Amino acid sequence: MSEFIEFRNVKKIYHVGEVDIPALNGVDFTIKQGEFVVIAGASGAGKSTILNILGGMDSPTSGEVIVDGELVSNYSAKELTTYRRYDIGFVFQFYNLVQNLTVVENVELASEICKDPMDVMEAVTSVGLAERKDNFPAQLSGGEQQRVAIARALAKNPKLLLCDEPTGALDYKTGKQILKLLQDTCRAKNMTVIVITHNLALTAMGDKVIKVKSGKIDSITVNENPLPVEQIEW
Amino acid sequence: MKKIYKDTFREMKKSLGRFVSIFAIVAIGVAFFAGVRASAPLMKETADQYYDDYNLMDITLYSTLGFVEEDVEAIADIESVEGITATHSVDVLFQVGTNQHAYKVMTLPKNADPDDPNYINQAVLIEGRLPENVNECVIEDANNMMDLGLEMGDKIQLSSGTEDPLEDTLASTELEIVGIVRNPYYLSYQKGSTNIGNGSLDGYLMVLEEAFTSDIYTEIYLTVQGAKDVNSYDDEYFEKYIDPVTDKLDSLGGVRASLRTQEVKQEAEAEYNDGMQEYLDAKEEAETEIADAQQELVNAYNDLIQAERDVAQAEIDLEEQLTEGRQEIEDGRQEIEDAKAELESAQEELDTNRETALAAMEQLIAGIDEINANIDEIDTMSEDLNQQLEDEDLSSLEIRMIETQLTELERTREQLTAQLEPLQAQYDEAMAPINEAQQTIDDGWAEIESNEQLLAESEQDLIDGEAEGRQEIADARADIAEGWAEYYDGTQELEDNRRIAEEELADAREELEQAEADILAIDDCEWIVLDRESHYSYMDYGSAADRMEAIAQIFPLFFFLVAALICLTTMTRMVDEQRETIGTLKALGYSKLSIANKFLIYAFTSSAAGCVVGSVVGFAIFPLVIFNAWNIMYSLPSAHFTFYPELALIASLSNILITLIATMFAVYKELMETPALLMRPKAPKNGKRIFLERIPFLWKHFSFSMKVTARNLIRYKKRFFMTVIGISGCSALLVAGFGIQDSIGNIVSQQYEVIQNYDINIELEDDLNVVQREDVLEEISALEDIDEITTISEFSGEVFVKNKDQSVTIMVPSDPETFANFHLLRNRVTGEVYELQNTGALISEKMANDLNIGVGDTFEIERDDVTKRITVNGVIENYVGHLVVMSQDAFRSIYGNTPKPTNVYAKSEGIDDVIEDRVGTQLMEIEHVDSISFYRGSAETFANTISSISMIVVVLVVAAGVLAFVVLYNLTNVNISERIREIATIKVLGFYDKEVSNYVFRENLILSFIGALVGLLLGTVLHRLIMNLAELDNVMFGRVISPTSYLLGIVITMFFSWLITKFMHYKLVKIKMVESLKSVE
Repeated sequence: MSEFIEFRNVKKIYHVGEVDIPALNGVDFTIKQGEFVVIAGASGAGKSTILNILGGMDSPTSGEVIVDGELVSNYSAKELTTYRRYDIGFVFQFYNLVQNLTVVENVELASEICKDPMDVMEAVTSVGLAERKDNFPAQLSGGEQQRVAIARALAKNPKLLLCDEPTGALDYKTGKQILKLLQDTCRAKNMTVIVITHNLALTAMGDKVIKVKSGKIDSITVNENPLPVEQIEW
Repeated sequence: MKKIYKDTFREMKKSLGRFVSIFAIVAIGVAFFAGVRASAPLMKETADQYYDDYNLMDITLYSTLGFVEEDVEAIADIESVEGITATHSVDVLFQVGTNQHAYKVMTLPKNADPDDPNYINQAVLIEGRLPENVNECVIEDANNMMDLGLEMGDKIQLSSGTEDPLEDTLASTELEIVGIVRNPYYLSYQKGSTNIGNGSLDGYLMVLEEAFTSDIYTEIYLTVQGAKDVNSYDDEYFEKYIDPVTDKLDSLGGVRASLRTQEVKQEAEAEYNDGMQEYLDAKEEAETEIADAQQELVNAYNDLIQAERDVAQAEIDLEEQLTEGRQEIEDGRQEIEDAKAELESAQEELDTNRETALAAMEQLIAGIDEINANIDEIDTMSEDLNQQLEDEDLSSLEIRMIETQLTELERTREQLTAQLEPLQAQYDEAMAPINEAQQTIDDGWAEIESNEQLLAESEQDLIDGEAEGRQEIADARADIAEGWAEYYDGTQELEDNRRIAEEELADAREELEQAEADILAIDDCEWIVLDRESHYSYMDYGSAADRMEAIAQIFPLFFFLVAALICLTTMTRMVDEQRETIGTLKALGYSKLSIANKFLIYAFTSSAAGCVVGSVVGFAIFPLVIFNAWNIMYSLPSAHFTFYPELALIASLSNILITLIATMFAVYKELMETPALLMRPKAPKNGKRIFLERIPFLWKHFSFSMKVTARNLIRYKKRFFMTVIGISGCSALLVAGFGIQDSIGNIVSQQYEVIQNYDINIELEDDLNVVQREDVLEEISALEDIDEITTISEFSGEVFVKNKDQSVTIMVPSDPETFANFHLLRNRVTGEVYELQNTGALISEKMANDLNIGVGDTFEIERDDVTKRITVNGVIENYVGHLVVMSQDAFRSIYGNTPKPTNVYAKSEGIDDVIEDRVGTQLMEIEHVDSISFYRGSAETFANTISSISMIVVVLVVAAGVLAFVVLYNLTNVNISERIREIATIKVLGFYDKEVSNYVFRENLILSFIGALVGLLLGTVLHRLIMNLAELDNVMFGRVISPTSYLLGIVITMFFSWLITKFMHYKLVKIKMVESLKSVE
């Protein structure tokens, strides 16, 4: 299987006043199509930066980022927007739903700007929220909100699903359900899913586990037999 | 410095945009409030300074009988009178080209000294010099000298405009213009009313006091000691300085005036009696004259009839005579013929007798012939012998022989002769009767011949006589025809004279009745003491300032409201953003007050800075701009920058207070919460279904961004109302602004096209008689360029409106039906077109409004010093001037006389400069045409005058723009910062910049649109308010705002809104997704 994503010596350096703060200090890794990847590391290690760059929300200071054969690192702001629009699905720790839209509408918000979106109700049903489709975010629990966020990301039929601490604000049980949803989606649709977590226990479920430390890759482990999330305890 | 203050100041530096937006709105609010409010005081102060500098009178005195020197001295003796001038004034007319102008003539002292306290109402010389003799004058500066078409050095011929010649009043009626002046006595373009011309004064002239011939003064001006120390528009001026003096003058007037009352009454009665006698005499004379003329005509008629009869008789006689004459001639001719025949037969008889006689005497005649032959032979022989004798060769013998022979012969001859004599006697005797008869016949012929001669002569006489007779008859007939023509002319003349006399007598009678009424109505002579409150210019300018003040009351309020709202929103947002800090500080143990201080100091600093800048800028711009705008209609020296500390203080304090209250309001809720709650993110507001969703048909068709927009609009009520209020303010200002233009622009077209549907107003001379008037009308309508005319009686009167006497035109159409084609009598609101009633009158809308009266109410009108009460039948649309329109019957029932047509309205299709010139000249050539005015010109002049008000439009549009920018900038700022996560999210979702902009700003645009719609209503109200306040005394501005103006109001508001959107777009682009998503609210 060819490499779907490739990071080549990617650096991200923030200039604050006269001080240079390196967030990423030469990162290299590859990810294959359909892999469920867990990026783990302590707070401030640089894992979110990787995700932001991969997701087109930020550009690297140097190095190359190749996604599906495209050199994303060279994209202009507008090209990045297009890239986000068609290729990327995001799931955030705090869901970031539009409070004024119902479940269905939040999903449609994403699907209406896509070229080839998934049926909205299908996306909502796939996250188990068909019953609550007309509720507003404030009427849902955290887990449910996160599922809406996932449905919103999935509805775009993205090449890449990026999840930044998706369970960070959820309790254990709900977190597990979310992770299962992500893992099932990955398997069922052969979608490349990248999950960021500081919870090392979750590494067991990834096809590939990338550990980040102080802006550098600490280790890359390929899990031949990833565990289903149900079997993982933390 | 305590750290908490350090935090405050760092906060200011960090959030400079927010700081500036509070600063800006406060500055604008204060600038408007203080600036606009300062305009009225500035106007009044500048005017008062002008009055003081040029010694405007404080009090004016009139007397119904004028003043004499003793009066002046008595007044001058009153304490606290500073300066006094007894003077004259008169209203005059003069003509430039075809236009007539009514001017007031005022006086100047000779060698005027500005420092002389008795030199009151000083002239401000602009150009040229002051008059030096009675033939010179100076004229008002204004803008209209050029309009008049006069130049320095021109001479103007003045007339009184009344029956009394102006020569009675002025030493010289032809004046040379030697200078141009201004005078504090007259500030405004409008000069008030007059009894002459068209009823309103156009300007003033100043002449030397000596130019007035009368030594009875018509008015007295005086100034009061100390009055210059205060502003004459303040109450103090009247209470402290003027009222005590007017009281004294009133009581002095009571004493002095009663002295003359009796005198006047007696004079008037005497005059009335004379007038009555004169009237009776004139009436009798007229009646006698007419009767005589009638009698003469009757006589003439009879004579003519008689003459006709005579001629007919003469003709018959002539024929008879002719027949007779002809018969006589015929008879004569017959007689002659008879005589001729008689003579011929006598001749025949005679001839026969003669032949018989001759035959009887044949022998005798033969004997006579033989003897005569012998005698002839002897004579022949004797002759031969005598010839022989003459031969000289003869011998004596021979002579003797011959002589013997001769003797012989003689003897024989004698014998023969003797033989012949009896024969001859016999013959003669026989022939005598015959010859005698012949003689008688010859005489008969001669007689016949002479008779024929006579007959021919008498025939000639007859022919001559006939011709003569006929000529005489023809002549007589011609004389009769001439007589008839004369008779008919005479009848016509008599008829004309009778009508003229009837009219004159009716006039005289009415005049006498009037005079009688007047005498009964004569009041006791009175002094009229007027302070500046009765002075037109003072009041006019004062009321302009008051109007400005009224506008200043509402206008800035708007900006105040917006400032408060903006501060509230901005500070609420700031407090929201600082939740955590507040929580932390609270947890650290700071008191509520010291925490609130941070925000209060922030708000105070920004608004205080705004106040300082705002008041300085406000005082520098608004009062001067407004002053200058008003000054287009008034002539005043320019105003100077003035700082009004009280106003600045009021504006600043109230603005700061509002800001602080808004801040307290924002911060209070947060301060009440526990620190723990504060440090947690604020629970997001619930999404709510809105009513639109209950209409699935509609809702389904909404896109998401539209759904979000719709929900946001309804969810954020504070923002909703703020934007709507702010933007409605903006569009209200625009609508009001353009509406003002509509109202003003409308006047000209409404007044001069719709209402006054004629082109020329021709004023006829006074006192034309009925025939002269008919002639003039005939001549006018005969002009090629005149299409249609109608006549009307126009009078000027005065009505006390809004605390002053205003000039009113009383119109009485001669023929209401035709008049309807010339002047539209329509109610503006209901559209009802009125017909004139037999009583009461229609009045113009402006007057009705200002008097606050309607149909069925009554009002008082003064004309020629007579005040009448009139009932209102209807209110008619009219924009320029006050009108009272009534029927002839109504006029008669009010004034007791039938009005004579004074003016002619004429239509001239397609009139232009060329036609105007031509018609003007032709009209002025017609006898008895007094003056003419073309409404095309009036319309233009008027449009120019009021266009100055459109300055306000510019101010309003600029203010609207500023308001829109400030409101929208603030709101958008707040909106963005409140929704930054949402915006970041949709950016992450891959919305392009433009889509993000649309997503966020659609709300703004919709809110702006709603605001703009609300603004239309608000603008309509504001417009009406401004129109009511800014309206000139005798001009009604239109009330209608055109659809275009509403449209412009919306379009420009939306444009401002769109501009802000464009501007704020860059702020959206700059939002960083990563940071925004990370930070937790």
